[in-house]
Amino acid sequence: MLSLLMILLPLVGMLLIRMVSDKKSAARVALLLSFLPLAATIWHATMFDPNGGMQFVFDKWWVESMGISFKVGMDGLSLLMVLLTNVLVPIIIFSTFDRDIVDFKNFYSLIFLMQFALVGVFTSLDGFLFYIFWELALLPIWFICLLWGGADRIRITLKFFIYTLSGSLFMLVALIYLYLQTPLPHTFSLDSFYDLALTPSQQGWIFWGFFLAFAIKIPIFPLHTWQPDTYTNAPTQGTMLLSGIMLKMGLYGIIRWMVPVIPAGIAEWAWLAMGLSVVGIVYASAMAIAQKDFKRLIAYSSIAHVGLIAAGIFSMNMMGMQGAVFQMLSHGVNAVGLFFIADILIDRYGNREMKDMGGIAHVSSPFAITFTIILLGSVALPLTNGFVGEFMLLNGVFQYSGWLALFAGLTVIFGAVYMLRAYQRIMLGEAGEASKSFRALTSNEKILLYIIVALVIVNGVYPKPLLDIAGPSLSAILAKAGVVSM
Amino acid sequence: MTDQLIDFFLLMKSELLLLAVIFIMLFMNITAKENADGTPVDNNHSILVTANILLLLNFLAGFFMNTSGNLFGDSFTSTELTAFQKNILNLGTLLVSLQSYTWLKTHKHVMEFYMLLLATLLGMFLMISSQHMLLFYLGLELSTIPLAALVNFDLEKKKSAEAAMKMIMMSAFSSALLLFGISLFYGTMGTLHFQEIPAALNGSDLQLYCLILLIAAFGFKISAVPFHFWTADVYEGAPVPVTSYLSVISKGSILFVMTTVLYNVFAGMGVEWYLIICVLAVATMITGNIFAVRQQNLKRLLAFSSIAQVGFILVGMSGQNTEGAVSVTYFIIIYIFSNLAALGVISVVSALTGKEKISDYKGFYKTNPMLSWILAIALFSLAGIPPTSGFFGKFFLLLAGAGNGNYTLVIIAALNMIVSLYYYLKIVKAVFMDANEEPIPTINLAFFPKAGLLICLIGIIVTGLASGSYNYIQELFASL
Repeated sequence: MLSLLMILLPLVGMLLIRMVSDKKSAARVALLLSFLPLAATIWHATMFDPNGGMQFVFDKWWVESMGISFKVGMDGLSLLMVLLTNVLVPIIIFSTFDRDIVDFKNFYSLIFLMQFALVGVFTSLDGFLFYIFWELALLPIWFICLLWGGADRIRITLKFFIYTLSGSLFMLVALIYLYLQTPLPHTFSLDSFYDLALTPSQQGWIFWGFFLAFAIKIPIFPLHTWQPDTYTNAPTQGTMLLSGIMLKMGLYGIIRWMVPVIPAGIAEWAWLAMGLSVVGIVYASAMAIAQKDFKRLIAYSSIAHVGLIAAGIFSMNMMGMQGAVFQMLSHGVNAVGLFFIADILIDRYGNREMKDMGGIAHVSSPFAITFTIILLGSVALPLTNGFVGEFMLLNGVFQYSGWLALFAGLTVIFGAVYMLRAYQRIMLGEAGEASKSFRALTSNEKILLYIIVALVIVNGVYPKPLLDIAGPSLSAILAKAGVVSM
Repeated sequence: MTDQLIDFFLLMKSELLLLAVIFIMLFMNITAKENADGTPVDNNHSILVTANILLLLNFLAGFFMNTSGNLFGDSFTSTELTAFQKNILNLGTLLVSLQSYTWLKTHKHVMEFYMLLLATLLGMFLMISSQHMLLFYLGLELSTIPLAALVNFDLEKKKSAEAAMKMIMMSAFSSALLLFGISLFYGTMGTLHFQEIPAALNGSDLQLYCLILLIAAFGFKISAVPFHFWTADVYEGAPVPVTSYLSVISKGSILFVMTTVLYNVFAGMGVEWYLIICVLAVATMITGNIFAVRQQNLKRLLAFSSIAQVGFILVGMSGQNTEGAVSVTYFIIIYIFSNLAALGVISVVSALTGKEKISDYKGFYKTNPMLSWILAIALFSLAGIPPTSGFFGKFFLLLAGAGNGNYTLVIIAALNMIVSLYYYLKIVKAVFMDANEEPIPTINLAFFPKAGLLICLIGIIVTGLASGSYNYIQELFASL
C-alpha cells in the first residue's frame, strides 16, 4: 500500500501544478511537490532491510481473467533506482529556476508524468505493468523534446520516438511468448517467469526480443544513432531526464528481466552484447574527442559510459553487477551535473560551440571549481563517485575476458582526453570578449552545483551504504541465474 | 398470450425502440411548419436537440429489462451478448450524431439524415440477432443501402455522388456473392439455420467454396484486402460524420456478426477459415499501412489506417479461442472511442474551415490546444501506445493471435504497428509544429460536439485502465 502511494505521488504533483498560474511561484511549487516522492522514498529507505528480499509489495489483480496484476515492490536494486529518480527530479526542476520556460504548466506536468512512469518501471513486478510504464515514459519525454526542443527537433524527435518504440514492440512479443509458456492459468508475474523451464534456443530468441528494446534505450552501439541528436536538441531538462534516468531503464531492465529469466540466452549471446558494448565505448569516445559542441560531447561520452555499464552487466558476475548499479547512480548524477553546466554555458553564450568560449576560470571561480569536480567524477578520478563504479565494472569485465577489459579500459584514458580538452577550451586560456562579460552564477545555480558536487564526493569517498543496499538483491538475482556469488 | 406478447416486446426491445425513434422523427418531419412561401422553417437546432436526446434515451434504455430468448421460429435471438453489442452500437451512433451537429446545423435535410442513419442501425441490430442466413441477409441489406444514400449526403459535391455510386456497386456485388454462397449452402445442407448448420457441415469442397464466398462478402463490408478498393474513395467523398459511421459502427457490427458466425456456426471448418483469415489479416495490415503512409489527406489516411486496423482485428480473430472473440469485441469498443475522437476533431475542423490536409494542421496546437490534445491522444490510441486503451485492445488481439501458436503473425503485426506509428505521429507532429501562414483559427465548440469528444476521451482513457470492461465481456462470452 505504501509503495503504491509513493508511485502515485508524482501524479498528484502533476495535477496540482496545473492550478498555479504564476510562472515564478510555479517553479517553487513544482520543487516543493517533487520533494513529496523524495520524502516517501527516504522513508521507505529507512524501513528497508537489505536482506529482506522483495519488500513493500503491493499486489492486486488488474485483469484477473488474463493473469495481469498490478504488482509493485522494491528490493535493493529497485530502491536505489527509485532513489536516483526521486533525487534527480527535484534537481532537474530546480535547474529551471532563473530560466524562462514558456507554457510552464505543461512542462512541469510532463516532468511529473515522466517521474511517475520511471518509478513505475523500477518497481513493477508484472510483465504487462512493466511494459505499460516502460512505454508511458516515452510519451512525456517526447512531448518535452517536441515542444521545448531546439531548431531541428521535428525530424529528430520523430526518429527518437519510432526508434525506441520499435525496440519495445519486440520486447512485447517476447513478453507474450513468456506469458504463454507459463502454466495455466497464464500469468505475467515476474515470479512465474523465474520458474519457467526454457530451452537454451527458446532463451536465445527471447534474448533478442528483450535486448533490442533495452539496447536501443541504453543505447548500445550500433543502435545509438538517435541519441546524440536527441540529446543535443532536447531542452536541458529533457536531456537530464533522458541521460540521467531514462537510459537506466534499459540497464535496469537487463538486470531485472533478462538476467534471472533467461540466463542461458545471455550466456549464449553475451560475447556479442559485450563486444558491441566495448566497440561502442571506443567508438563513442573517439567521437567525443572530435566534437566541437559541448552538449554533443557529453552525449557521446554518455554512450561510452553506459556501454561499460552494459558490458559489466553481461559479464554476469557479482563485481560487474555491483559496479553497474553503482555506476548507474553515479552516471545519473554526473550527467545531470554536466548537462547543467552546458545549460549555464548556453545561457551565457547563446550557443554551444566551445571555440567561442574560453577563459571563464579567470572570471568565475565557483563555476571553475564545481565544473572541475564534476568533470573529475566523470573521468573517474579516485575519491569521486565515478571511480568506484568504473573500477568495479572493469574488474567484472576482466573476470569475463581480459582482452575485452583492455579495450573497455580505454574509456578511462579517452575520457580524460576529451573531458580535459573540453575543460581547457572552455575554462582556460585568454578570456575573450564574450567571456569577460560572463554573467556571474546566480545563487540558485550555485546551490545546485554544490549539491551535485557533494553527491560526487560523498559517494566517492564512502560508497559502502549504497553498495550494501544493492548487494543482497543482486546476489539473489544472480543466484536465480545460476551464478553463485562470492 | 399476453406473456408471449410481452416476451416479444422485450426480446425485440432494441429494434422496436429504434423504430419508435424513427417514427417520431418522421412524424416531426410531416408536421414541420412552413414559411409563407412554402419553404420549411429553419428549425435544425431543435431537431438536432430532439434527435440527440432521443438517441441518448435509446442508449440508456438498452441497459434495462434485457431478456434472453428466441423468436420467429428461433431465427431471431436475444442474449446478454447481443444486448451488449447493440448497446455499443447505440453508443457509437449517439457519438456520431453528437459530432455531426456542426455539419448538420446548416444542412437542409436533417430529418432524412437521421431516418437513414437509424434505418441502417436497425439493419445491424437484426443482423446481430439473426440466427438464420436469410434474416442475416435482410439485416445486411438494410444496413447497407441507406448508407449509400448517406454517403451522398453532401448533395452539391460531385465527389460525394461518385463515392455513393462506387459504394452501391460494390455492395451489390458483395451481396450477390453472399446470396450465391447462401444458396449453395442451402443446396449442400438443406438448412440455413445457424443452430442446424454445425451438424450439417461435412467439409466438402462445395462447402469450402461457399465458406470462401461468405468470407469474401464479409471482407467487402469490413474492407479487408483484397476487397478494399471502394474504401478510400468512399471515405474521402463522404461527409466526415458518415465516414466515421462507416468506418466504426458499420464495420463494428459486421465484425460482431463475423465473429459469431465463424466461431459458433463454422467452428467445424476452423482449419479452413483459420488459413483464410490469416492470409487476409497479413494482406490487410500490410496494404493498409503502406497506402496510409503516403496519404496527405487526413480522411484518406484514416481510411487506409482503418483498413490496417481491421487487419489487426483479424489477427485476434485468428486466435480461435474465447480470447479471440473477447478481444475482438473489446477492441471494437476501443476503436469506436479512438476513431470517433480523431474523426470528431477532423469533422469539426472540416465543417468550419473545409481543411482536410495534414499540412493544414500545422500550428493547430497554438490555436486550439484542447482539440490538439484530444486528437493526439486519439491518434496515440489508434497507434496502440500505452497507457491509452488502444494499446490494451491491440495487446489482447496479439495475445489471442499468439494463443494459437502463430508467432509469425504476431511478429508481422508488431512490425506493422511500427509502420502505423509513423503516419499517426506524422499528424501529431504537424499539430504540435510551428504554425504555417494560415493556421486553422480558434474553434469554439458547440455543446454537442464537445460532449461527444469528451465521452470519447473518457472512453479512451478508462476502457483500457479499468479492467472490469474486459472481464465483463469475457463473462458474456463464457455464458454462451
